[in-house]
Amino acid sequence: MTFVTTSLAIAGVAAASIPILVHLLLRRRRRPMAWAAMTLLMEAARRHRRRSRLEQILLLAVRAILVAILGVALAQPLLGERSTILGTRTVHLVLDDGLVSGLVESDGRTTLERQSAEAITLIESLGGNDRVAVILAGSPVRRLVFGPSTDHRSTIRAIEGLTSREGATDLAGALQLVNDGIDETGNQEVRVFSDFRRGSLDDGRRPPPIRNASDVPVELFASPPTDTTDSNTQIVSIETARTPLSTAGAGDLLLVDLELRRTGVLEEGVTNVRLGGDAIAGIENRQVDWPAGRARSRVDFQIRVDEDGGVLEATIDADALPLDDRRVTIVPGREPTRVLLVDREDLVGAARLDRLRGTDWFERALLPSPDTTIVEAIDIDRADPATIDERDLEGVSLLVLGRPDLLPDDFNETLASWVRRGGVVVVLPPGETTIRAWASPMLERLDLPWAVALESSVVDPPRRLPSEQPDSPLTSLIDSEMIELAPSVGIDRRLPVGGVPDGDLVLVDDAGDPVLLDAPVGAGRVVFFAVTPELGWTDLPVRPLMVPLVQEIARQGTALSRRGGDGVVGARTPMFRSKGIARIVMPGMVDREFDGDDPDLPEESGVAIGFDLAGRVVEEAVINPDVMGGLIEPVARDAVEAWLEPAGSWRFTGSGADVLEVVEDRGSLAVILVAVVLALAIVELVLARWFARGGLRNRRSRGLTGANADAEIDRSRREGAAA
Amino acid sequence: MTDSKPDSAGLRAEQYLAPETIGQLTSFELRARMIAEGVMSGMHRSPYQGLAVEFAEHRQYVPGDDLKHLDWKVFGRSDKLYLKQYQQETNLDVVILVDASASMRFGTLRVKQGWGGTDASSRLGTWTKFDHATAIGAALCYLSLQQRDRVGLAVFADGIRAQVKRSNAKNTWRSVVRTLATEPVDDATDLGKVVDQVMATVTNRSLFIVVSDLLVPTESVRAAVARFRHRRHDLMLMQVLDRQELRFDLDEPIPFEGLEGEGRLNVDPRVVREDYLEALTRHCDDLERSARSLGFDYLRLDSHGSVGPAIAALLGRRATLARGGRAG
Repeated sequence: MTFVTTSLAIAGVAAASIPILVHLLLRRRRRPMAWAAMTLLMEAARRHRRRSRLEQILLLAVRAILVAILGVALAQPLLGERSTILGTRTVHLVLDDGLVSGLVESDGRTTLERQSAEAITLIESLGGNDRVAVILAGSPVRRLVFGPSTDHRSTIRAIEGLTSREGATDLAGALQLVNDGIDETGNQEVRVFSDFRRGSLDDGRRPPPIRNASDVPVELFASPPTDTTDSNTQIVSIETARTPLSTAGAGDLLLVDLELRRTGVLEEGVTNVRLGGDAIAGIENRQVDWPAGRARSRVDFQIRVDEDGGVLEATIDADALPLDDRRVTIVPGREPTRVLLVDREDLVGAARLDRLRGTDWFERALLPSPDTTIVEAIDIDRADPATIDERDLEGVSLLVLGRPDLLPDDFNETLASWVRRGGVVVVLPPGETTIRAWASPMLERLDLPWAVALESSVVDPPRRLPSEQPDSPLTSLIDSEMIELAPSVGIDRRLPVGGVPDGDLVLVDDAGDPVLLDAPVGAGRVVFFAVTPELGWTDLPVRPLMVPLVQEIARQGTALSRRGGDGVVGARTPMFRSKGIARIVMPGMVDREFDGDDPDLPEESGVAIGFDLAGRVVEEAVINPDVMGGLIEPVARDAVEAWLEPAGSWRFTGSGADVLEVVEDRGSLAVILVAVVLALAIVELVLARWFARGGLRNRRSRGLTGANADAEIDRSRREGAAA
Repeated sequence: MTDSKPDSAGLRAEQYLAPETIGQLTSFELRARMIAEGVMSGMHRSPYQGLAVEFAEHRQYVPGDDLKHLDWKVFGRSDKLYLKQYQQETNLDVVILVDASASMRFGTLRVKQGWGGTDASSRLGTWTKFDHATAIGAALCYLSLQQRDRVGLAVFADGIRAQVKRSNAKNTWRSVVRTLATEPVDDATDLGKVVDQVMATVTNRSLFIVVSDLLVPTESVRAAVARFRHRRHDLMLMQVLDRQELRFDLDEPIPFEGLEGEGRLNVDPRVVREDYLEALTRHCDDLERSARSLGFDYLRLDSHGSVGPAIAALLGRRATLARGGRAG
């Protein structure tokens, strides 16, 4: 509690002691009076007690009503349509503090600062009994103050301390939180403070219907959508790829691919890009020239990184929205890529090419030449499918399943867990004639919707790979070569696969059926060959496409899975693959014991660090801003209305405090009630004194007289008559 | 009588008989005499015909005589006017019962310097009900002895505590006043037991005068009165109450403590005043009704008021009744 004039409060407290002191000083112990007619007095006291009950009840009622009305008066009840019995209302404020709210406006203030000022103005216009709740819409959505509060001053202070966050705006989540917090106390209304730019509206989610506990819609207000255009450039992604063939020199050559995006006004311009961080020595600079109307651009770097790896940071010139001008990634240290081939050992040997199995061809494609440096960079091991277990997967980056039909029944669970933690598995359908239902249980564990047939079928006439292949992140670096390499591949046999989303297709045949599929699962990936790279199925193993394809699967697959472990503010927690992590520290958050579950969503970008029990750094993971929240294009008012519509009927208000209708008759009822309280206080005083003097029976009679007194009176009368 | 008059005998009797006046008479005997003189001077005629009288002889009517004493039966038989003349009864026994229970210790009239009074009043510094009762008892005793009646005294509380045997001897007066002056005022009242003890010693028809505050259950008083009637005795109930008890006009809350062990009571007298007065009135009315219904006299006296006029009025009324007239 705070006081406007503290000295007055102290004086008031001190003054309260005065009547106590007076009472103590004037208190005196009365000596009892000896009384002869005690039985009569006791009888009188008994009779009075019975009679005084009614008086006491009357006094009690007056006092109770007096206190009740005083309480209501102090609560400043409001008249008019907004008033309730208690005269309170609850205003749920939704403040957009997502990435887009960090947009610096023409007056130098950010959007969040402007809207915070409007929210503060609104709070200051509320009555003392009105409750206010503040929900922040930047992911992860949270309440600024716990529960609706009448402490407006503290709420304002909390709003004043707000800064924009790097997560995307989640208005739907914020309104869901509002709906969960609506109670039956007084009137309820919701006010959203947002510019409703593209980054604030997620078309994939809609707000819930907002109703109070009695299922009655509450009043909904929103600030008007902005029509101010601006320009923002953001780093959408930073992708690195290190060829396993490259191990030369003091450090590895790293391919770095930055994607830039412009939103808002697309005028001609230049953006300077810098690449730095402790993974490389020095800073690499590039310049991007933007022709008018161009929204996307890619920047490639080829840099030499330290053997131990480190953090690689990309930045661009600060613009209107600075929060998405920086992005980081982790470059791992130089370690051999471990590949595990799981296939049945052929006791006869595979001297003839037509007897080589898919895993054999895969191995040859990974190590196309007997160069010792390559052998050091790729560490290939083999395991039998019937005996493989979780320990075989430790440290493995790429798992190639040549005989998935022979895996133990319980391995599918182990496999799914390993993939979700960042492993890349390549599945090759078995060429054996024995048919087992292996695909469905595995894909079900991996949450993949693909429908795989039980057995392969011969393709007659044989098909070929067309030159036009789907866009896939797995083959993005060999897209240009695909036109020449793909048409040479013929297909004689295939395993039919259905229900494949377009995004999962890597290679398709000329009939449009899938040949190679790829899908992210957790932080890892699943690469599925519908056509096993064996000569009985296809001539791919002996075509030029085989080596670059396998190399890309290994290189891009592992790189993509690593990127899949990066955290995104408010959207995705970073993935830690290493075992033995006991504690993780995320930027802007308190330390958290790591118990295997996903930690809370990150609230700031930076580097999250995993420590073991001894306090040693085991693994690092990066957290980047959610660039989808940085789209600053204005959204038309109709579109915003359509987006908000599921929540109820919205009213767009003007700017500032005029959004709140001022209740003009506030306090008028309080004045009346105070007058009633004063009147009751007087009544109580009069009644209390009257009852203390005997009440209704107080006739002030003279009492009895003795016969001697009667005689004196008679004598006085006689004397008076004689005179 | 004339030789025993004080220097202030020229004042009006009522003034002598106010507590302020009789309190200043330090001699108990003198105080009683003064009261008796005052009573007699208030009666004007036949001062010695007060308590009990009997027909003595006829005498011839002379002009100026009061016609109400004419014997109309004689006039009817002989056609001559004769007046009836009365003679004092010399063998009437008067027993005065004075209450000395603890409740009689109550009094609010402040005793001034030089006042006499009983031991009780001299300790408390107030004119108690017992002081007033002793003044009344001694005065009545003096009057009776003047009429050569045999007078006895009993001081009681929860029983007969002290008594003076009935006698018309000259030293009886001394015994009575000594007993009244020195008896302690204490204990509760047990009227039934007192009546039992008195009845055991008084067998002949007598006049009993009970001087008490009678703050006992009216049922016990009614039972006692009935027993006097049963034995064909005459009775005068004289209830002495303090003015504070009669008016109860205290102005501030105060705890009350019973004099006869009733305990303590915290009550605001302003609040319960009307209820108290109502209860007191009912109590007194019940006492009076009990006495009058059996043909006895009841007199309520204020201890702050004069004694003489009330007693004179009572004795005058009794004389009128005894002569066959109507009480005024």
